Amino acid sequence: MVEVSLLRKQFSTEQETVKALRGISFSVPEGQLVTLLGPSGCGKTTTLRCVAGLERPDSGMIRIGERVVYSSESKQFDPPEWRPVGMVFQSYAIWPHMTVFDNVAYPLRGRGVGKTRIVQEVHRVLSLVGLAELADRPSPQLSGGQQQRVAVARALVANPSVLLLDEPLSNLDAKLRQHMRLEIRELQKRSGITAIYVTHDQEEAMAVSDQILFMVDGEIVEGGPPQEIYRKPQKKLTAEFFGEANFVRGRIKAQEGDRVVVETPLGTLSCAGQNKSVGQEAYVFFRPEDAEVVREPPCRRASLPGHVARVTFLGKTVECLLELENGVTLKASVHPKFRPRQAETVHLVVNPDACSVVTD
Amino acid sequence: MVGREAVLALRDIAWRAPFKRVNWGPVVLALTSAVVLYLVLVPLVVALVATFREHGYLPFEPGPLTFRNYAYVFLDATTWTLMVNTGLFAAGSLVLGMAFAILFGWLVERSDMPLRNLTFALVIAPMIIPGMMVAIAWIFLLDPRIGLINLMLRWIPGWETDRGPLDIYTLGGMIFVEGFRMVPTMFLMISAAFRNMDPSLEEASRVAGKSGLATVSRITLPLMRPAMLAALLYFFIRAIEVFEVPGVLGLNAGIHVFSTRIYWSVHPAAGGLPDYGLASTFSLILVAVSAFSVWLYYRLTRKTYVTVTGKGFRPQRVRLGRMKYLAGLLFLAYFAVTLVLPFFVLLWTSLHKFYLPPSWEGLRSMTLASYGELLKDPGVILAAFNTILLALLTGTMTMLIALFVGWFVVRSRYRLTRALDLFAFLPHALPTVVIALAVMLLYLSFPNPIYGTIVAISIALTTSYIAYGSRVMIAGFHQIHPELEEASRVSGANFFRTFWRVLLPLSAPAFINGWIWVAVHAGRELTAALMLFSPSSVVVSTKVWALWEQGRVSVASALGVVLMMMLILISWAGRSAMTRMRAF
Repeated sequence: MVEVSLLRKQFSTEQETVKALRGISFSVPEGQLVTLLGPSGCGKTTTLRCVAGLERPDSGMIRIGERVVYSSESKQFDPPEWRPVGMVFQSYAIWPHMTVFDNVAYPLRGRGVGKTRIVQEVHRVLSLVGLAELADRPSPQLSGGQQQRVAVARALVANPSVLLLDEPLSNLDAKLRQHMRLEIRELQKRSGITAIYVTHDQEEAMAVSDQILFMVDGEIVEGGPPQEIYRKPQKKLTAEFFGEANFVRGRIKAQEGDRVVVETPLGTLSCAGQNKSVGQEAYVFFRPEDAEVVREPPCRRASLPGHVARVTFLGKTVECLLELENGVTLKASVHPKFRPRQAETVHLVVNPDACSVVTD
Repeated sequence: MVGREAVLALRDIAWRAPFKRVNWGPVVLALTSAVVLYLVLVPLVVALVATFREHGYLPFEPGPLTFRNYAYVFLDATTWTLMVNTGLFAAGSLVLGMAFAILFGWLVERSDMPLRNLTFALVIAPMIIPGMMVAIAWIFLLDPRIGLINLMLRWIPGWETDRGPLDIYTLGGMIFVEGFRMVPTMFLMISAAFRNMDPSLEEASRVAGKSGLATVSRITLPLMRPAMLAALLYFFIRAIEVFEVPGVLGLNAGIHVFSTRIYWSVHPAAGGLPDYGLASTFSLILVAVSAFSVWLYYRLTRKTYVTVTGKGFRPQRVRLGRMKYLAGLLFLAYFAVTLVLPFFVLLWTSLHKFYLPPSWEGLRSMTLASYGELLKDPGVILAAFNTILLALLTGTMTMLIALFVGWFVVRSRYRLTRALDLFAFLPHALPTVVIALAVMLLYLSFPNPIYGTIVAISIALTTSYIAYGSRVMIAGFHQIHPELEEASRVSGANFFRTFWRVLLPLSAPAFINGWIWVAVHAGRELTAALMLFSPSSVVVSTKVWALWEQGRVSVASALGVVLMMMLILISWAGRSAMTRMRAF
């Protein structure tokens, strides 16, 4: 497992000082893949590089397995080569002057691993990533996807305690990216290795992770399993980052168990939410796909009447911008078969269980 | 499908072998800085101390301190003459060189002139003739009594004199030779700037309705101003410190510039004693002037860091029309004046027992006697051996230091790095003649086996070339993606292994490029060698100088021709090593 606590790091240039990490803490349980997700400049890559030892934090503590590899208290800093990590870089960093075999064998050399053992291990990881027959190929002759696999093989060959992946798919084209993210997830599950994954793509994060930590401005905003963080986020920022979102502004009236009662222009709503303080300004949040649009008002469920203000055809779905009678606008995605028309009057139905309460 | 056990097979790998417990990065940084500091700063301090010593005293000998050197230098009228001479010489050759470099750079990079690749090669080809040989060749061509061109000019009715009409032993003569000598390197700098300029800036001007020539004057040249200013400053420093041309042409005529004056103080004419104090004080002025220019240059090149846009773009070329024949003629004239004529006259002289103006009769008296004399002279064999040793040693030492300097400057974020960057740049401000003087004083000051050997010359040259070498390596490391070496560290390789297995192979093209430049320059270098050589450490350039001083012009020419062949051989060897490296 990996434990990071109160990690701080700032970069100083002549003009300004940038606080890259503002005291972040998290831990990665053994065998899990945790993703650091966030917009560019949020400090996710810096965090990963601190774990690898490529960046020296200003303060805090980093533990990999049993070993403390960095601690500002005891003034300990292990350089990267002492840390039991494997890393896949954004550019793959496949050495162009070596063959595939030499690239993958590199971490084993100079560590007292015998020659025959090296050959064995390299072939084992190469077959693991499906490149066994390319061992003798000069690395500049590899395609993007193959380079990616070599990079993964090289990161795994010396059996590190943690695998670090820094935007490993951002240099691939969209199709290959979707394929490779499944492959990486598969490999990680199969090998049971602990991994930290960095990306700015929320879809990719949801596809590969056990846990996602959402970072903004050098801080972890919140974290959780993909399902939960997508559907029931705590913060408005998170809800927005993960995809299209509807927010209805309101004020918290009461906390009843794990439900929160919020007063909104649409009326008083009760939705899922925890640890909210009464009186606080908040938003009722739901995803466009959780909203149902119908032409006739349903009899047994509450619905909100409104008209279609804009229709955007997206292929799989059609996104409708609805203007409700009291001036609130909301987005809803509907099936293309529904064929919404501009200015048509419709009714919006939202399941309260799909809503949650988020704060700024 | 391979199971989980396969990946977990290697539980026994040692993640931290006990002997790897040192983090070598900072250690190597400290060592590199110490070496650079020793090479650059220590000799300067020694030279500074020398300015306060009486005539006849070494810097650290016990004895009185004095301000007499300063009094002499700053109160004597000849210092003023020296300044005027140096200033005129530098300004004149800069104007001449720059005019041709800009014109050629523009023609090759921005006009539709034919045979541009060939022209490019023709412009830089004259670099192969060492400065001293160029000066000697021009004596054969423009000596007021026997110069070939003068002899031909005298056929013109009205000029039938027995002297002149042209005289190479003048400030104008020196400017003429030095100015043309600057063109190749200046041209390289200027044409690179032309090439790196984003052509869409010019295209935007064309689209806005301006003609090709209006675009050149309103867009191209103003954009080039920083690059041209940088080239100008760089060559100003070179012009005030250059020794070869003023040494060959000016010393006899009594036209002194700073560099020859310093040399003259250490090697006075008739049996005088060397005056280190005076030489050091003159050096101080020279260093002050060039340090100021270097500071300007550093600021200029830092601020206007040229961003190279994508390769392979096609800039709009200005149509020359009939002017292209004129341009072609200009290149031919330049090539004849800077390479064909000097080389021919050197070769001709080397093939005769005495200097003899070229003629049809002269063809019959051609002989290889001078080359035979070279082979018989044991001093020449030693000099050739020493020259090769000097080239190899200096190239390797300089580029090894530059390798580490370059890496630290580009990659590391230690505070020491910026100081290292500055100190590695500082030798730009140190004229070779000053470095040589300082090295001489340093190794005279305490007993050591280095003084008077090739190593002493090599140390002086290494100091001088560190600045160039580290720029090359810095540019080289900028081209290597930092993740390539980070991947090595994360793979468990320490500093040295990363350097050896990843950085060295990847930066080899830059390293070899720099190595060739340094080795070739060290092999032809005259100034430091002349200041520092002893009978056992003669090199070819000092041997040519000595032969020339003795009046054995044919043998000197022959050795000059041999030297050029040796230099071509060294750079050919380096280039072929380079192509082999490109194989991967």
